[in-house]
Amino acid sequence: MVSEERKNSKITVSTIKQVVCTAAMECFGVVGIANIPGADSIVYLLTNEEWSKGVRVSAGSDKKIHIEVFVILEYGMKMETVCENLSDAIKYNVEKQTGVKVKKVTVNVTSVRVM
Amino acid sequence: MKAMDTDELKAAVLSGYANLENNKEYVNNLNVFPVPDGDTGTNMSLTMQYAVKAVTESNAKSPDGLISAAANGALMGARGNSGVILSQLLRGFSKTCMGHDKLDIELCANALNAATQMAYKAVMKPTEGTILTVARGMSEFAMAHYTEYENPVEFFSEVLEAGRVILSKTPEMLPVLKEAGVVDSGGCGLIFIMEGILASMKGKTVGISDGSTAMDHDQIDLDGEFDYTLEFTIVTDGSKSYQKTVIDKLMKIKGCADPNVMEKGSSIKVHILSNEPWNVLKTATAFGTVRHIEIIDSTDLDDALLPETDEPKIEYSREHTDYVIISVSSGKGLSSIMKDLGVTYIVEGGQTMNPSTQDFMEIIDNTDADNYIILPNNKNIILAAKQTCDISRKNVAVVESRNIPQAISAMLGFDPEMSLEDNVAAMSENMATVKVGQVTFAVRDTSVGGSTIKEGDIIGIVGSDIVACENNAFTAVMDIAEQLVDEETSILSLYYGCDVTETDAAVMENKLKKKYPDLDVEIFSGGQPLYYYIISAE
Repeated sequence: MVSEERKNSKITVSTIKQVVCTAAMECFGVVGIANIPGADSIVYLLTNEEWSKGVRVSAGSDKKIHIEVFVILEYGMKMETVCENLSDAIKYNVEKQTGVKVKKVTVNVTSVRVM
Repeated sequence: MKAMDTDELKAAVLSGYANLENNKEYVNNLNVFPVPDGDTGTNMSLTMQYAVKAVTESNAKSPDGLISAAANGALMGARGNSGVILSQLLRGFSKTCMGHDKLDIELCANALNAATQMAYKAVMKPTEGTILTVARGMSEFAMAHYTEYENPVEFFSEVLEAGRVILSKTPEMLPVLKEAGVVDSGGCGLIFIMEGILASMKGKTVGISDGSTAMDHDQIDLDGEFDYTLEFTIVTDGSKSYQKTVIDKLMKIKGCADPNVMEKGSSIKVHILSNEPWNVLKTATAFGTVRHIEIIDSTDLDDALLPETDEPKIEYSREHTDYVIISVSSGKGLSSIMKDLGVTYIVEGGQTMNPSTQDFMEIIDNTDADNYIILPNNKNIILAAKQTCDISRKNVAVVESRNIPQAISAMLGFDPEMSLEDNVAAMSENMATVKVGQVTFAVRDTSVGGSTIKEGDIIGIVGSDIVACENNAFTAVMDIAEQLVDEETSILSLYYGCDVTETDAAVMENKLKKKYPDLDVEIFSGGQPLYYYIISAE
């Protein structure tokens, strides 16, 4: 488990995941978080409790972390821009709220919701 | 019931865009981050620009086709969060209009409602107090009251009013806005677009004005009637606010007009037009000491304003070369440093004046080289530079430098013998080794991360974070240097701006040398506006 040691506090991966999910939830264009695709490559829309299953946090170089998130977007939007916005929002919120530096954010669009 | 035809609609969309474009700096300044580089206004304006382009190119015969073209254009050109939301609003609007050949009040209300719903649907947890809230406010009003109106102009202006009311409430909904003392920037941008559309419906289509020139023109007209323009500062005892009394007194003087009075602490800055400047000064002395008096003869002013149209043309060399490197820079010092390093052409620009794709294209079209490299030196210019790559048929590459020091170290990695790809790779790699901090001033009061920042405070920025907030530039530079320097640092370069005196810069150099005896401290006159110091560590 990656954690950044502060003087007397540790930030766990699940906290970071929560921050990531909240940022995703508030990001315009993102309508859901999906599971990290397994061997069956079936996409599930995750419910609130399972959200952390759609986020991967790994240790990057120089004490910074790498965040990977799997999302479902709304149809009819410029995905490139939405992904850019999401990765900016994730980096900003994680760094601001937890103090952990983010090296890289990867946004994977698993599916698109058409209505 | 009256309905809009395609031509009117086209004009309305153009007018909406123009009004936003004219006010984008205002919207940018509402961004909650207190440095002079907010970009909500720019993003929204660029998104609208694509919509407008699609509309002008479209040969749709009915309003729904035209709106659909606008929605598609906005979708393709969406930039930033506010831009994506704007494109989604347009998409919702156009979906409802589809199949109707008349855009009447009822349809308009329904379409507004659909736009809001479409936008709300695209986010799991909508944040209230944003552009979404403003859109919802307008559509709710439209849905509730559309039956009461016969006249579309009246209806639309009431809808807009409802939007304004909601916009003014946004600080109550979003604490971060209240903390910064502003309304939501995206919502404000939306209101500007609607204002432009309304103006066009009233027959007063808004055109794009070239930056601040519109205001300047107003002033020229006024100046014509008066012989002198006066500018001076009154230094008062600062015990109370004199602003109102000063204006009252000035207005009472005969032959005076358009007083512009700004009070800050104990100094009051006055700009006024007058035929009898001596009387104005006499009145002003009653409030305190009058300083920095400048009296300009209006005829001189007219002359001074004229030569602006004759811009100095860049001279292009027709000679064939392997490489042409174009760099964006502001400030004489920085430009000459760039030229020394091998940059072929400098495009004037930066934070407050972003060059367009056209500016780059002009250089590329007028010169003859195998390869072109563009150094944008600002995050807001990268897009324009990249578009140049797409448009031009020549070999153009962009090295995505976000500031001048990055460009300087990128230039050090440039080798005219190498291929374009290798050069771009080498330059980008070099660029990554530099860490850059900038010292500027806050444009308004705000608070970030619990610390309060007052307008005019000196702030230090590294990346997009404010790392220092001080009352003088020296300490801010020291704070930034502390952030930037680590074990691997060997060179510390300092570029001082046009607002910094040479003596100050020398003092700064000594301070840094004393603190970091092991590093090579270099100091250059950058002459850049807005940023007092740019510091780079590599």
